[in-house]
Amino acid sequence: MTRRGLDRPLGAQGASRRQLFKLLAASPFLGLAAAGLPASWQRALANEAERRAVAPAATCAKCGVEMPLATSRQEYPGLGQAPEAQPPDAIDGQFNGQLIESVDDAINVWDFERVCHANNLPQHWDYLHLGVDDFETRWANREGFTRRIIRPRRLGPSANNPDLSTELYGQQFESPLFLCPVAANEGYHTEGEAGAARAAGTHGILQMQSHSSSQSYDEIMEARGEPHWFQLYTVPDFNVNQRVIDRVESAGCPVLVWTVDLIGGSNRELVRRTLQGDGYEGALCQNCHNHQPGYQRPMRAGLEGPAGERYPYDWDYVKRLRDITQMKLVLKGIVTAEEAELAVDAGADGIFVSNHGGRAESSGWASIDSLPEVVQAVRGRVPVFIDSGVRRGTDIFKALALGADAVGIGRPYVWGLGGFGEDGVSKVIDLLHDELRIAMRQTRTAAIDQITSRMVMEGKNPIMMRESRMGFGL
Amino acid sequence: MGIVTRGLALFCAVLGVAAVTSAQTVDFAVSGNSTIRGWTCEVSGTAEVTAGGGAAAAGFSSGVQGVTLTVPVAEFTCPNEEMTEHLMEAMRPDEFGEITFQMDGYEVTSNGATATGSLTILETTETVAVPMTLTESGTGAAIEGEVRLDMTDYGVEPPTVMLGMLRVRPQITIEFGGIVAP
Repeated sequence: MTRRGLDRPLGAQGASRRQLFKLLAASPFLGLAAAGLPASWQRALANEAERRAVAPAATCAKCGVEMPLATSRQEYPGLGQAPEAQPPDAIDGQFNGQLIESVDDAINVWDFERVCHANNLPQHWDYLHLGVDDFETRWANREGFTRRIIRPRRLGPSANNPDLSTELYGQQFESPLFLCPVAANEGYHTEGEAGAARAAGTHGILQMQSHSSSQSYDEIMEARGEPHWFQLYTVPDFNVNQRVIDRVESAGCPVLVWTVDLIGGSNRELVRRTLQGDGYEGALCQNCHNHQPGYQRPMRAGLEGPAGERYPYDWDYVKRLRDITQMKLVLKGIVTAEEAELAVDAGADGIFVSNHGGRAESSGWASIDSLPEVVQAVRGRVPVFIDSGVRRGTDIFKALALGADAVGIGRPYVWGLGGFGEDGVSKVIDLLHDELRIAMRQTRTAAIDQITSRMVMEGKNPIMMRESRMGFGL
Repeated sequence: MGIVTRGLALFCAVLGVAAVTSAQTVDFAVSGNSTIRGWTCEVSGTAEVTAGGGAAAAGFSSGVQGVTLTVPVAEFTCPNEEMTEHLMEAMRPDEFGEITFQMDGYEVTSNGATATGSLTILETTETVAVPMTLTESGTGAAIEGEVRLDMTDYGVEPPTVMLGMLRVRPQITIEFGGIVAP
């Protein structure tokens, strides 16, 4: 057992305005006190009281979580008259999600989505869940994978025990699956990035740490037991960038992943909506996020020093980064052939095809749709990575077939972390590996390098079976 | 030797060896959820083993008669001081200094054993079954396991903070692990 307490000054308190109103709406003293409240509070309380009156819900007998009983029959009038509230049956759980009580109950990664949602602060969930504009790119990411068809092989060489091992820059990993950089993991579980690192280390898979992580590079490396990769967000002052690069490089980081897909900003409406009212600067948010004066996330703290040049973000910038570090340099967020070509010419050691999980621009262009042209432009000169919308072992298989060298997940492992800490992340990895092995056995591929483009073809329409109201199932 | 026999022998051997030595350290991690995020708190406890009859593994002298796990409540540590304070308010270490598990019996399983016994938290004692894996280790044997509980079954009130806006879920998982060595 390798868990450890994390002595981080987070504070555990935070709350949503809506939860306060829910609490007050449930109070037997509401009637006595309501008349004295401000008009906006009275309206909010009335809304919550109405929700309480109409929302069918039940409380999980074992875990105590209140869960909505939104069965498909209730939500879709065309399927018939809504019956009395009843627990979801298996088919509901399969396509609408369910609240699991243990990692052992998880059948697929979606089973972690609901439990993470149920057990985390709404604002934190919204941050994880968000897409830009109307979530078109998040939809596209899933549709891109479900539109592609795997071409099975029934007979042939044995693939009973597929070998998932993968080599990247001379380092051996147990599989091509990796954990993407996701900010602020402690917002979902006190174990934070270290919990994910222990799970990744146990499974021998790659983890990329976010520049916006809750924990420092050293803490995460200690949890894993060896150096991992670091994702960089550059700031205009180049000296600040150099200081953080020097810090992770001196700690042993072998690969720097520079995210270039947010330089122009992104329209994240869900965050703005969830922070309406007091907003991030309000007392509730600040109680956790800034309760120590001058607090900064670990990888942004201690970088003070003389100001440097403020270079434009052009292709020379890649060369500048290349010149100040011996680490391999991967560009994350490249989605076109022409930029892939330019990136390799500028000295990039790897191309990471990503639309930031549908959180960058509302292009409506799936990362898996971008992959083939990038692979074609790169021509095998450097490794190609991909993320955004990967939820199944078959998604990993499809990406590998289209030329990716490694395939990342973001939200799914954070769902696991938010539900059950390290154990949840570990189970998510296990599930995806199991699904990938099935896909490999069904295509008679005994090793990763046997997965070729002939095993995947494009279908006419995406097959989206999952319930996706409120964006669940994306 | 069949796997069941081997498991029984190993289990008895582990406990039998421990019986003739001082108490062994076992690490515990208690995890759960809240309306804010998941959490884990940790503590180290002791395992005292009493040698007894029963099958003994090759190289060991006896089986096992009893096992007592003791967890010092005041030594729990959580990720931050605030959480530790809330835990202490719920667990009242001044009144109830220890959580104890007293084994009454065990069954050998394919990869270890399931111990049945009395778990006492605060003033309440309940019978629980605790599955554990036993793995031969260079310095003894590694034990690992977990048990899920509802803290309200033991009269522990889940902490609530900020007028109930932060509520700890009553369902918790206790994981334990350690090396039981001669």
